[in-house]
Amino acid sequence: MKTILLIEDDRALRENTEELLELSGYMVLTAPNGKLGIELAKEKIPDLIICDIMMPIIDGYGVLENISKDEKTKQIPFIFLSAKTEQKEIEKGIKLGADDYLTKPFEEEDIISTIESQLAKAKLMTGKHDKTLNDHGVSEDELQSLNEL
Amino acid sequence: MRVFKKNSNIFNLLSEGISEGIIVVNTEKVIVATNSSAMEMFGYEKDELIGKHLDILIPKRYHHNHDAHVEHFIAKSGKRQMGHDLDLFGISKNGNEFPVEAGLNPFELDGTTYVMALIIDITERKQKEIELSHWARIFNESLNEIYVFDAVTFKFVNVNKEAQRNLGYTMGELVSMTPVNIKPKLSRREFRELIQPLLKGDLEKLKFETIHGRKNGSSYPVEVHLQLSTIGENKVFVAMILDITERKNYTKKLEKTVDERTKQLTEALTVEKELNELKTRFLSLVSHEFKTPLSSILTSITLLGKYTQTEQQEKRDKHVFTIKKKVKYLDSILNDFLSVERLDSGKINYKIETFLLSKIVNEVIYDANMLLKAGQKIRYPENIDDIIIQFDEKTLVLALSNLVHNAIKYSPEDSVIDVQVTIEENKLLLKIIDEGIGISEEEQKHIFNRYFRAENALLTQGTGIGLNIAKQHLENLGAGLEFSSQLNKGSIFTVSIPQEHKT
Repeated sequence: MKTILLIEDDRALRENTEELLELSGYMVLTAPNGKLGIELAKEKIPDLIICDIMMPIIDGYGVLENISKDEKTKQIPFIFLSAKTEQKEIEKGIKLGADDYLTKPFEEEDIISTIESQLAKAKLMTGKHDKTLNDHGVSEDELQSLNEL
Repeated sequence: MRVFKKNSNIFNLLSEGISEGIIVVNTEKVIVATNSSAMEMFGYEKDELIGKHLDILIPKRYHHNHDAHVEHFIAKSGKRQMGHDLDLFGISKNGNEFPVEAGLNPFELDGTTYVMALIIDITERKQKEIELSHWARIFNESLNEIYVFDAVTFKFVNVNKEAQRNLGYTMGELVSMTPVNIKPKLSRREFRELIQPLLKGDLEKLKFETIHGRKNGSSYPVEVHLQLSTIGENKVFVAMILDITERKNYTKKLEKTVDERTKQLTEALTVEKELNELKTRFLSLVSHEFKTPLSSILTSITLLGKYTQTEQQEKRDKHVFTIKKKVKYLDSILNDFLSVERLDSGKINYKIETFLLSKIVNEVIYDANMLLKAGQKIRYPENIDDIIIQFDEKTLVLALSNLVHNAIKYSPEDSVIDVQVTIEENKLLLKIIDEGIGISEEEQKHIFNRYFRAENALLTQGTGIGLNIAKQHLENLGAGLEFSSQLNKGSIFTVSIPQEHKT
């Protein structure tokens, strides 16, 4: 079971998203602010991080920067989930190193397909770069799923 | 005739040598001798006048007067110039009248009295006089002020009527004055420097604007046209002065109009800018403040759809609650915005009613409970059950919910928000005390400004409208909103409502 870390300050949305992801078969960790999110990421090394941008204490950009610096966490696919929906804000997020950007409000299908794509891509990348873990390289299935993105 | 014979050579010699006309008459006013200048002057042939009555040389209308004049003169028998202060005219053979000046010289010869008249044709001189008086009239009657003053002493030599009228000084007063005396903005030294180019001949004319001071202390703006001239041997300045009060007034009016229009445009632009700012803020608000609650609503609805089994009622209730809560939240933000619009346009209808304070406090705290963070608690005020107040209900709800919502938003989990109600000196005080992030000292003065967000609040959702409108509404109703705050310790916001009736 894949573990997803959800960092979101709005309690209702955090709980709802957690519930949705759990119903889709993911194990979900949650944090109400950037600071706790970073701590949790380093401690649990989730398979994927979904992170809000406007949050107290440390915002989403701060979380991404921190996580990218750490060898243990920099490989983790990182998805922004934000109310900032203007093109230039999305570009800023991607430029900073986010793998994808989800805008609020989002549909169940949006978040699930985004998560699946990123997980598939991550698996592929891991296979490519981390030879010690996988001698066989990329599998046919993985290639297939990548092409479908 | 006879009498002149023996002296005729001498007479001829003398009389022909002068340019004045000579006419000698006896007491009967019969012409007895003439010279050629006189003949020429009156257009007669040589000796043609001898034996003729003097009247032939005088226009008819003067005959009577002239007789009396000559008689009077002979009686007085003194040498004198005629034509002083009176116009004398001669008439030539062909009938032309011309002005003359006559000097009369009576003498006796062989016991007979004669009068020798020396006549000067003054046609040219009269012409010049007429011309001069013409210029003098122009000088005096000009509607511009004209000043003539000495180039060395600067003292006024002549000042025309208009100048005297406008200044209020008489010519008698002005002769001992200089242009500097009537130009309060120019010192003698400055004036001297100003006219230097004219004296040196570097400039032919000088034009400048200054102020003239009247005798009565008032003043008027003038445009001065100055030129160097001469009167006989003396160098003088001639100054033509235009009173430019009207022109200045017009310029001032024009400037004022331009100023007013500029101001109007600036105001319109400011309003336009404010509207644009409001629009931008609103769009930004829609983005930041609406999208997160909308996400909660949308996910709650998605989840509601998944919980179809009877035993999942608890989950369904939870999501219905979330939806209600978020809709209320969105509604309150919208109300804030509408409130801004109403405050700005002045379209507010307050309704003062008498109601139980506890009713409002309950309502606000009940709604706020939905927004509490984990472990947060609102402490309900004590002993308010009997307090009845007179106020606008909606305003009180708006102010209190804004303050309580802020306290929740800017306080950490597991903190207490204290709502206290006290009565002091006919004032009802409602205090909302939190243990939140507080407001830095530097930013405290801005906290009620519309759209202002404190540095430490930027990462928390908010519009920067709530405190602004709460304060405005309260103050419109004679109530007040104040606060004290300490960074990272918390804030106390106090609503004070003057109350005459209390229980």
